[in-house]
Amino acid sequence: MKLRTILLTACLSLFSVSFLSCYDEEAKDEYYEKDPMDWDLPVYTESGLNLFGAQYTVNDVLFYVRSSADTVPCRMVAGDGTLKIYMTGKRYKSDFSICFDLKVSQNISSYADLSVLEGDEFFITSDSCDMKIYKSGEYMSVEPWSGSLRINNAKTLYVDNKLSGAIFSGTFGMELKLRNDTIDISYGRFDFLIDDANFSLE
Amino acid sequence: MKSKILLCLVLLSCPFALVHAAGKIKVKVGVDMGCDYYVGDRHDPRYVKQLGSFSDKEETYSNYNPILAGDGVDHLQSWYVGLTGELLFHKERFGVTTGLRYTQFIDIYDPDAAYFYWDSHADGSDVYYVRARTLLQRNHYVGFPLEFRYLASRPGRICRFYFKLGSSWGFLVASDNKLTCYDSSVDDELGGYVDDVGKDPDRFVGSVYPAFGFRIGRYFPLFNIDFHLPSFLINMPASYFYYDMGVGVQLSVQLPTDRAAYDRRDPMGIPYY
Repeated sequence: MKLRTILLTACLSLFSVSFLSCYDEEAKDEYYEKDPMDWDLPVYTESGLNLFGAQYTVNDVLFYVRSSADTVPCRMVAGDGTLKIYMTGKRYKSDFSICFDLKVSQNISSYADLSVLEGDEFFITSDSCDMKIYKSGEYMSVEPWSGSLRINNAKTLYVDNKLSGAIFSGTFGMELKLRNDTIDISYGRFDFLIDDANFSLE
Repeated sequence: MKSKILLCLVLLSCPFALVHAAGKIKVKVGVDMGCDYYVGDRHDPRYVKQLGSFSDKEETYSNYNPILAGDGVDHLQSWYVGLTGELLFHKERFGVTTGLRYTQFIDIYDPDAAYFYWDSHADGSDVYYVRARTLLQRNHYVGFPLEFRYLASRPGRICRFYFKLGSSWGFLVASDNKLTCYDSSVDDELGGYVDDVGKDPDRFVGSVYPAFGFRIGRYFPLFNIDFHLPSFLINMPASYFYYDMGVGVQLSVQLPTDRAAYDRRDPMGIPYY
């Protein structure tokens, strides 16, 4: 009886220890949360995650452009009735940057004013939006065919009751011509935290 | 809820009353208490927000966006106290225990980072975040245990070894969540108890635990100590805790309802049956 009891106890303890040892902390070193619809793009968020990404098709060859962990993904420069948005990241392994030069109806003098842009859509074929793409060491003007930049979410952020930044999120997509290349940018999404580090006045 | 608890109590006490009246099966009443410690995965609470951030290193900016930093292996604690009755039969070798039990589950969200952002509230185009250090969630359940015990050694011994298959079932009666701010100067204004954490714990939970233990004492009173190895949870008694399994320890004190019979046999120094 005693031997049986001891054996049973030992088995129960072994069973418990083996179960508990199954837990192993997985490394979570991903830079961004993937979009379940397209794993090469970050999922669309409105949280101020400092991410952007888009499908970038050049002459029917698909690439991806997206923010990278070692680059400031967004800089904003506000002027008199203008707002320049620079999105900087990588296209495969090479540097990539795109600039939207927006004409805004109200003056933007600080990131706290960005909330007035919530819900606005800027069509790249209109006068309110000019677009440039960084290539060969300079920002080059493009010949736009269609497309727009839409600001879905622009909120002023207070942390511990102190003004801390602005959350600026939205989508973009366009067709254009750059030199002799036909470029189709689709499923573009961005989610930025704008604060003193990446906002400046002209 | 009160009427449900009352009904449960009446139903639970019926078998004890019946067998006690019959006088053929031994009955012991007592109190038990214990704690369990569960290991599992915790997800970020819905109102915990990630923010992109920059650090200026060697004249270049580095974006160290901490995606899902809060997810990971963590633990959940529970403790309980209750009143129990045990029916013992087949020469006190087998026992069935039930009663009334209060259980509190304690889940502490405390990521490795110095603080996390908590989405406090929004006002028009303004959103308000709080830098928080911890989120403590306590969930209170009232229910009953149901335990089957096999005592490996015969009655009358000073220490009896036993195996047990136990379970505990509970209904959620209250829940509270306390946020501790990183900046203590705003703790009074922005911290403290928060009503909504984005997801409620399950209203009904259960746990099942195979266990072994020792019954100490010969006749009156009896002390039991047993170890839950392991303990499994059914449903989630915390808002953001998943896939759980744990270990626990339980202490109980039992009094026989027919003490006179025990007292009469005790001087003989032999088992009373």
